[in-house]
Amino acid sequence: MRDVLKLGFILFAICAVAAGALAFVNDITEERIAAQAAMKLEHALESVVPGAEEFKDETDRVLALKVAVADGGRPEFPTVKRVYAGYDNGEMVGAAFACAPAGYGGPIDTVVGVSRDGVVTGLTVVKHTETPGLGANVTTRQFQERFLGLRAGAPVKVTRDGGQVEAITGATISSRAMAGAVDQALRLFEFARRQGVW
Amino acid sequence: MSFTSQLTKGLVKENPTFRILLGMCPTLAVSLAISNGIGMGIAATFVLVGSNVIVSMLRNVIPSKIRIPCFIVVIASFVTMVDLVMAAFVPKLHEVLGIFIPLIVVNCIILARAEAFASKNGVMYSLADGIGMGLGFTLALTGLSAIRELLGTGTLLAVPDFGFPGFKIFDRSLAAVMVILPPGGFITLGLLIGLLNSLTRKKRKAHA
Amino acid sequence: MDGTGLIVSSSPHQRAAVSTPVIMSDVVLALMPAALAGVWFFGLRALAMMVVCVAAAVGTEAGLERLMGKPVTVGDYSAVVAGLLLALVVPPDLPLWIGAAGAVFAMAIAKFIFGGLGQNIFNPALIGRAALLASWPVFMTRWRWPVFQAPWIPAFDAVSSATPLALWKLGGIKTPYLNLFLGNVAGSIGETSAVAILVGAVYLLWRGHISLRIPVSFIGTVAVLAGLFHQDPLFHVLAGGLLIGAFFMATDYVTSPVTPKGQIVFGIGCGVLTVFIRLYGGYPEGVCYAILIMNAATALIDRYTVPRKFGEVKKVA
Repeated sequence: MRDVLKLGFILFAICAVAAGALAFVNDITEERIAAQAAMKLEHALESVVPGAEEFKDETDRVLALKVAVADGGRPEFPTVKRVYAGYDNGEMVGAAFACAPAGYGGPIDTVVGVSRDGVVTGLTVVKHTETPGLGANVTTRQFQERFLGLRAGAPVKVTRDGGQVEAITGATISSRAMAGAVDQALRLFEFARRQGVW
Repeated sequence: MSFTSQLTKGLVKENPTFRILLGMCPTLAVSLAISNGIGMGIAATFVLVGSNVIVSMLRNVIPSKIRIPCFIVVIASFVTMVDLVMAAFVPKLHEVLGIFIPLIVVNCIILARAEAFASKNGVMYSLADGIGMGLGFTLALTGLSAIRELLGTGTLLAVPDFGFPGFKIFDRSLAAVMVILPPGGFITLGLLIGLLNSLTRKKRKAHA
Repeated sequence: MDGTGLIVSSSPHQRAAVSTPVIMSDVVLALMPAALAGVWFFGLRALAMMVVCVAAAVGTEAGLERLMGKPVTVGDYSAVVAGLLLALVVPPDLPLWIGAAGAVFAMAIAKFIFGGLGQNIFNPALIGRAALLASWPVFMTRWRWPVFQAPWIPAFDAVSSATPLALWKLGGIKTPYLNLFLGNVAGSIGETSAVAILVGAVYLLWRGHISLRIPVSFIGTVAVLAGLFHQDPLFHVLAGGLLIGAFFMATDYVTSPVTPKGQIVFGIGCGVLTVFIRLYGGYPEGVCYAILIMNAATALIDRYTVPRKFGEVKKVA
């Protein structure tokens, strides 16, 4: 019995010291890590919605809207995770949609920018696990530029599915995922606009 | 037994990757580019040195019945610290090494050195063992990464997350993608181990 | 070979006057119709691919055996067969050096590392193809419609096209049977012409080198399953690499089961996997992976299908 107490106490002491050390390191790094994450998001948003001074997270507004009408059998937007509206001097200039479409190797975290008048202004991949050399080319400018200037109306699809966007050679699934993200972003934008959000 | 011999044994003679075959999971998973290999190697070395020194210092305090939980607490604490520090100060590298930093906890090299060496030897020797094994791991990872990066992407020393394209040896469209996929990792590692074995076997024969 | 560890069953033994070189040179001969069809449809480029692949395969085997101080066994033609088979299952416009890389990989990694002829678990030519597809997917999926053209016309003038299976999978377009039968469709060098492959297969059957068990159960399973899934069975039999795979690759002595029952199980397994990859997989064609996966199961199949010894009573469970 005494043995158990002794062992327990030693383990407890080691854990306590370790916990103290961890708390100390966490304390000095916490702020910087949060700042890094915020900066990264800010960066992504700015790159897809040019001309915006500040961004507001309006996911709740748009999502509430989505849910309300979804009851009436309207389309859902499963890949759109967050919605940010970009403002310049208080005027809404565009919206950024953080999407996570299913790629070949997992979700592709993407931000799609749409301007006030409903045109795709930018596209950036934040995080992905696609095959290097093939699907990983979704991060290239060359591929992302193929989506610029598209607008709501015709569904966005890769050429193989009868659409307008040329897929990456050998990576149809990844390309299709990106096209799906842009398609849903455009449709959600159009939908929210018609509902009078912006 | 000397400080120097403890330091150098991990490089070739008892190389953790090629000889003791420890830490295969991070080896295969991150050895896609030289920059990854060096980053992972340094992070693992830091944890290894830290855990070796602490375990060695506590070796007379820790009862053998609960030594494994104690080692794990020490190692996990170091890994978490490395994780947090990297996320705060080198976020790009942290992003690339992603889930592999937390995985250092289960990197067998670290637990194996704690159990097999640090818990039985003095602080200075354990320090040397940690540095040597860590460098051996880094060296092995870097060598493996260099081959895979060259054949799989056609570049050397590319650090895309810092915007450095590396030295282009040949065009990317000609590169063998498989080399940077998991099967290429297994095959390259196997061939390297075989090569090292056959080289040292010849050397041993020459000595005899 | 010193004979230790060899388990020999009691006599009488069946004797056969065939040896590895005889069988392998017969296989080369049987592959000639498909090879000629490839040259006919895709030009001298196809011939160059065959020469390069065979040379690389033979060179790799001889070089490695020399290096490791082992007897050089290229005289048994098995390296020639592996190189030729690899050349027949790659696209005609693949850069020649990539074909050579595939042959080197096939011989060094898939065959030599496992201990040479008779020791390899997987079919070397198919491993070569799988490695090339994983390594250079862009080059390995660039197909060309065959045109009856003079060999001096550069390949890039030719019309690029998807294979019949890809046309069907992505666009629902079905290539006419006659084209599939003759072989004037896009595809690998030696896989397109059903008639040429069948001529070679008949020769192998007549010489007694292969039995019908694996090919028939393989092809039959594909046809039946395709029918069950409301697909066109004949199309699925003729299109893609099924025929060359079923007759020349699934029947490889080293990597397929030796027991008759096992061979049928093996063929059915290949067929099921092929159909599922074609219908539900990411790739339009599944023969290569189907055979490789079943190769891995060969030892297990053999183990469970050993024929009962004479006089042995079936155990009642």
